[in-house]
Amino acid sequence: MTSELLMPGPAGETVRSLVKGHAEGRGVCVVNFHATPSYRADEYRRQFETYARAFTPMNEDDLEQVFAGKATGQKPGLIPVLFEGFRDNLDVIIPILEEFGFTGWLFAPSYFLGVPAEQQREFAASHVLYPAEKDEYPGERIALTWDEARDIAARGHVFACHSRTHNELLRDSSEEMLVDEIVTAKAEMEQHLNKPVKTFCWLHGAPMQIHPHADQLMREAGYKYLFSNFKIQKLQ
Amino acid sequence: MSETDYPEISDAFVDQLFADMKRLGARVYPEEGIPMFLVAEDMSASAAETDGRTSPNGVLLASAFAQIIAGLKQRKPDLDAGDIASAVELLADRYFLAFAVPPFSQIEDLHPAGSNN
Repeated sequence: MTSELLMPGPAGETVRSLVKGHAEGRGVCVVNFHATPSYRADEYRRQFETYARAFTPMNEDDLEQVFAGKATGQKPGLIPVLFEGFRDNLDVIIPILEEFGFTGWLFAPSYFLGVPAEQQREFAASHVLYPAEKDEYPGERIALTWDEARDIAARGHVFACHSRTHNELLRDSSEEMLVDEIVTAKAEMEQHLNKPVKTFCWLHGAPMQIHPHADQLMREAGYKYLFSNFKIQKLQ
Repeated sequence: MSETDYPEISDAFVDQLFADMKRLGARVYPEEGIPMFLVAEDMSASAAETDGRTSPNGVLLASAFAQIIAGLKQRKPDLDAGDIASAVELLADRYFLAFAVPPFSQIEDLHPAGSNN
């Protein structure tokens, strides 16, 4: 496994596309979280109190308006992304998001939520998943349950596939890996949430045009958006 | 310097870039909220060519980003994706809240309804 961040072409090409995108007003404000332990709750709350003065909430319909060039309104939208599907997202930061009216975007590796509680720390350690430094659930699960995920989704938050096992795209990723991480992940998450999942993101944020078959599978599986290191790409 | 010249990128500016990136890189990424700017890019079959229209805040943000990239390239000509990621993080750290405001005359709280629309 490598942690190299991938780009489809030369760095200058990526830089030019980002400069053009920002100049055209296509910048989207995102704030990334992973574990959200209770000992940082006050910090998170102060931040969202500030964000609430500057930004409006953003769900998938609002994101579509950005692509349609119809994002109007006085304040820009804000997407709080909660990576990994940790239990402390529900216990700590989601109530704060809801207090200030924001929509959370939970990017979870679908397999992680089904790992037995006693195996979750070992799974996390071997799959680049970093729980909070101080363990607030000793002897208990650290991942959300699917019941909790359904409840979060029913409250209006967005769920997205963060691959199936928290894997990264490589230029030579195998067919088997791609199907499991792209296609099976979506089916698994949709089955448990009982609603469509439209958004995908790889570990280490690979964009489109790295692996042609991965691009094809994402479109065939029905994903609409890909979040990557520098972009939110609309696939269809 | 003439009225239309841009300020040159000084060594001090570049020093500050690297110092800020080092400071930001020391954040506790697994627990802290990290602001980022992502760019929306339509790659769908129905994507239309952008019409080239720009937004006032967007142009400022693009200029700030281009300046950061130019500064980084003074010390590291061959940027990789990790360098660009650090540049975007720095851009967001400096301007995440600064550009999240409408033009002064259009801030409803500061003006009677309709007076400047």
